[in-house]
Amino acid sequence: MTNLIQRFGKFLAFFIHDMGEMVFLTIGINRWMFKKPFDGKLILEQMVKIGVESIPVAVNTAFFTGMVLALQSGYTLETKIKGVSQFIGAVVSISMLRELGPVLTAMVIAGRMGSAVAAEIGTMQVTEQVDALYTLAANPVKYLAVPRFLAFTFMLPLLTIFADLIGWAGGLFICSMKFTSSTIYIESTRSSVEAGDIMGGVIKGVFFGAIIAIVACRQGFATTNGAEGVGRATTNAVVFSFMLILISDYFLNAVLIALHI
Amino acid sequence: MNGQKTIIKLLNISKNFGNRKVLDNISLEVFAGETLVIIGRSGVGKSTILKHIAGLLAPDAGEVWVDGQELTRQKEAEVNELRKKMGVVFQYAALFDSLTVFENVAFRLLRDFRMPVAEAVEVVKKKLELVGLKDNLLDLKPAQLSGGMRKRVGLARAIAVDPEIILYDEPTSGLDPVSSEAINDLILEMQKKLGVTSVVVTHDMHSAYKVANRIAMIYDGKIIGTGTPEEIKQSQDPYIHQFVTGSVEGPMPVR
Ligand SMILES: Nc1ncnc2c1ncn2[C@@H]1O[C@H](COP(=O)(O)OP(=O)(O)OP(=O)(O)O)[C@@H](O)[C@H]1O
Ligand SMILES: [Mg+2]
Repeated sequence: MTNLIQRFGKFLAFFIHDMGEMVFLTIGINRWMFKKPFDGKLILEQMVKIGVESIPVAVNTAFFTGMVLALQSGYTLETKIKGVSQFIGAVVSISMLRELGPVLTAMVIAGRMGSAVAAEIGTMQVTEQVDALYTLAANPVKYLAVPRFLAFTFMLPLLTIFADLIGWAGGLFICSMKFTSSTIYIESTRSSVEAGDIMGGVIKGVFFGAIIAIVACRQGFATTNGAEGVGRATTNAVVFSFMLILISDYFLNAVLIALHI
Repeated sequence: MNGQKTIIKLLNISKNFGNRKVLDNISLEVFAGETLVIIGRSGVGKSTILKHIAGLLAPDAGEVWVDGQELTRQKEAEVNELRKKMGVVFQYAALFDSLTVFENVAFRLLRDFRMPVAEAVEVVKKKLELVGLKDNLLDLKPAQLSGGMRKRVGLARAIAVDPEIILYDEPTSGLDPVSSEAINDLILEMQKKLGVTSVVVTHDMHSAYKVANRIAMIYDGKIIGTGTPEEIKQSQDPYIHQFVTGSVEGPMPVR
């Protein structure tokens, strides 16, 4: 038991130390972002890898989430509070837009691309490719972190919007099969969704994208100890991303509510 | 070598990794246009010295002077300016494995010098020829090359922008004798034709004798001797003698 507490304490200390390093990296990224040269090709490449190639997993996640939401809420609304199944559209849309769209998409992308970025930069670090960048007068933060940061923060909100739509469609599919007609589902959506719901999800997407990028790049740059270290960096990137996404989701909600978004 | 201009100067450098002292108060000078070869057994810190000169590692104590500037006190932008005059050949090539051979060698030509691709292709072909590679490799990825080929692509990348200072970390290790000899010739040629200042780390004594103006030997974190190839060859120092003759008999433990 004390052993467990000790280990948790160590993890917490490591996590907090890493947070400090991530703040430095964030400052570095912002400093280098506006310096020449502008690596347009690298940014585009990362946008394709992080955004476009992640569409299949994002769609899969969102569609099933929308279906589960419709099934679960429809069942609850019908059996527990009889005769209110016309609200399924509202429940699915609002939940997708505000919470599940951004959070689940971020988690899937952290698993798919956060890990990949940490592994790639980590491998470059342990094989001295990062050192080589310095000697070729290319700052690694500028050359590696900035394009990935821009790609994550730009593509995650887009993927989130996409996921919202797909999840909504998944809900529509289940709802029209099991509960009410699709017209009622659509009407319920229209009467409940406001611009703020969409905005809120998009803002979350931007933050989550930045979190994944910074965590993954930081873990990559901090890699030591060869292949074993790359493995650890990859795991840490995913675990830390998940934790920070969930923690920041709570605070983002609080802020959004306070701002009436 | 009195009266000559010093290009690289390490002044009382110490470096620890953890609680292991790797460099212990080392001082070293490299003069303009000379080739200094650093020899020493595996793990004594030869690569570590090169990384200090390239500004990739900062010493725990001491100063690193390159071309009249002290690296540890400079901002990154200034160190970058210095690096523009410097080419570094890494021990394990350190090629970017997401880029092709062409993109690796042309890295600075394209990104820093904004050279048009067609022009860069010509330069890259010429540099590949210098290191004894054919230009049909241009579109291959590093993973598709042999170890020796990778090494030479790394060398081509280092000399792509005609640096004034070149740091070679074991440029001939892992190469066949013919390629090794070609690399030795290349190092000599760069010195003669372009006046390049070089620091070469090597285990290969044949190569060391061939390319060096001076040889420095490191043992146990210290420089235990420097001299011309002839002086090193004739050295009475038991450590140097054991190393250059490759003998198991002597003061250095074989383990
Ligand atoms: N980043 C690092 N972290 C910890 N220890 C290191 C690091 N880099 C080097 N060392 C240690 O420093 C010592 C010197 O390493 P270095 O790579 O300079 O040796 P070397 O003389 O180049 O050896 P070789 O001839 O085998 O390449 C080694 O004992 C190594 O274990
Ligand atoms: Mg070495």
